[in-house]
Amino acid sequence: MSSLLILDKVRTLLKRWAKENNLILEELGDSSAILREGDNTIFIKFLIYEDIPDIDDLNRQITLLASKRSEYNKMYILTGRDTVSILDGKLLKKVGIGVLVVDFDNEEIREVLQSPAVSVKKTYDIDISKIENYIKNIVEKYVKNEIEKVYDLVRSIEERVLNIEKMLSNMKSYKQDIEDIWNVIDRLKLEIERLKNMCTDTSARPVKEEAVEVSRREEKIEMPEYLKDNPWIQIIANKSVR
Amino acid sequence: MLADESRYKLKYTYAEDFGTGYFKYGPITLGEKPRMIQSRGLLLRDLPESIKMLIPKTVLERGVVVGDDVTKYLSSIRDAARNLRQPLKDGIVRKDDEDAWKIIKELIRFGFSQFYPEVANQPDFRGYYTVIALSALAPDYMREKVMELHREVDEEFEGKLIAAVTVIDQPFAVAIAEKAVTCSVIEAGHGNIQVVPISYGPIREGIVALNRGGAEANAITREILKDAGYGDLARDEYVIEIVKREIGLVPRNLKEAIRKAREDPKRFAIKVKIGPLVEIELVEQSWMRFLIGEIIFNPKHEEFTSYIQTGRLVIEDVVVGDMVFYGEMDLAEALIQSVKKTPVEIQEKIVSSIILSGGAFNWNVPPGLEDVACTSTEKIRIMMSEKVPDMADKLNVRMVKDPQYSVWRGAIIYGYALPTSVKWNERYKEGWYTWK
Repeated sequence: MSSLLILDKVRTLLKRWAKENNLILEELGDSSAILREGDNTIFIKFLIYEDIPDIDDLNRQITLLASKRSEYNKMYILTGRDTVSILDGKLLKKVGIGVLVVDFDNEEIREVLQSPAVSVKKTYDIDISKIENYIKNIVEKYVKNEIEKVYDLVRSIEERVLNIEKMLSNMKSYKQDIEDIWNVIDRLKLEIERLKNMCTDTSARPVKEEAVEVSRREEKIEMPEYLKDNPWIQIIANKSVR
Repeated sequence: MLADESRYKLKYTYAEDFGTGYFKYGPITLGEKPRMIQSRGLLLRDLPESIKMLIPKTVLERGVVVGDDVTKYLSSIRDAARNLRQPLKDGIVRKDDEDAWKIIKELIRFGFSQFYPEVANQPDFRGYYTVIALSALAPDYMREKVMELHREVDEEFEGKLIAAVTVIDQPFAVAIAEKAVTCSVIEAGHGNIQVVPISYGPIREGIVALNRGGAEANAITREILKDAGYGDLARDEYVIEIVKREIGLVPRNLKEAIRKAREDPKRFAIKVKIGPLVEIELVEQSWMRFLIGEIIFNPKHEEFTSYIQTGRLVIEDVVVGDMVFYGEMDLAEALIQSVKKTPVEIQEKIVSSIILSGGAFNWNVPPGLEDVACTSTEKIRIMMSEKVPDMADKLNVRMVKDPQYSVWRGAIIYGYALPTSVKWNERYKEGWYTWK
């Protein structure tokens, strides 16, 4: 028989064997099969050779299988009668791998070495899209909110800085007003001094006009002619709150 | 006054003179002369839709124009006679005359809008100190309303235009401009004559009002034109104004002047060219020229009796509020009555300094007629000397130097000098009123 035909035969016989042993065939590939027995998973590796295989090669296959042993509750190799005779039974027992023999003449599969059931590492079905959504939600719910809070805080800080700048500018103009007032006070002080001197000084020496420091911001404003020498100005200026 | 306040007021004092004929306005920085526009407004109603579309929206919303814009829109208005209004009659606006108040407000806004753009950018500008000159006879409601209108206009400028306002009587402003601290101001306008004694301020109890003015001179001119055969020209107010100014004379003594004019009419004859094609001439009726000037000073002459009795001339007393406006009282009598109401110790001072102001005193003496005609100042001196002979040597009567500008200047001086700390006093009607 060619290997394709053999493979086809093996698959058919395996299906029958699974049925006979109340096993559920979950996967049936070209080189292996996975079955389920209650909660146990059973991995069956096809090692079907047309001729007697090389032992090293065989052991290598078994070693490879052994590295995956903990992934399944039970593990078997499915092989022909010729191959069974050269299998290292001690090794197989040691690694917990069972043997199934396919008998093409009688068209059956027999268990020749039991595989002890071992507990397996649990693997999870990870749905990447679910993880993505989950992360998205977390970002939406927490991270974005936090970022917005930070923005609000930055904005309010900006506003306060602007207010402070405005206050500083107002303070500058208040400072200018205060300087003006001091200028006026200085001039008034000088005027008072001059008047005092006039009152206390009985000699005939002329009163020296004090030079008054004029603010550099004072501008020369023309007084209209009709305002000059008008007695009404003093009369009106002397009006006070009645 | 503090140096800073003085400096500020030298830049930002603003005055308005609300005359019946002209509105004079402007800040102190204008110098000697205010700006002037006619005291009238054109109400923008009865406009064709096609014209409305051409008028700026803001102008249409205000609903009234003043100044040069009146001529611009006048031809588009359907009922010009109803919509072209002079808000002031004898210097007074009637309380319930909404159209007139609208025009007054527009005059105020118009005036300020010419100066505000320039000062708005000045870092020291905090608003104009505004003095409003009104007739001495203006009732309280008018003062209040005008101040209120200023507040409304200030709001249109976001409260940055006006620092405060105050009101002053026009005759008082004249006295201030003339630097006369104790005097009597006689303000003769188109509708009335106000005699106001002044002594460091107006003496309100001494105000005497006469119910006549330039309008009566116009009325007698109209009758003269009719009698002289110019009845059709007599209907035109523009013609009457020109004729009045050209032919009117003030007689030293009316009886004497009429006698001389009747004896020698050619001496007093006159021709007046109204336009390129129209001329009037008075020869036989030339004696009537003296009636035009005399009616201002003394309408009691028998010459006026026939006009009054036939209803061609109306001279009568009226009462406005609590003020009596005398129709026939002559000017000298009015002056004496006014002075009598002042404190005795200042009466001599007041009557010895008389200032005449107003267009109704604007009369010339043609060369060669000096023996019969005189100026207004001379007329007052003559009348007063006849009534109070003892005062003859002490009388000092003068015309204001600039009749058109005196009130505005006086208002500017008042605004400049009045300390900003003096707040409006309802009892004395003085001080700065502010809404800030």
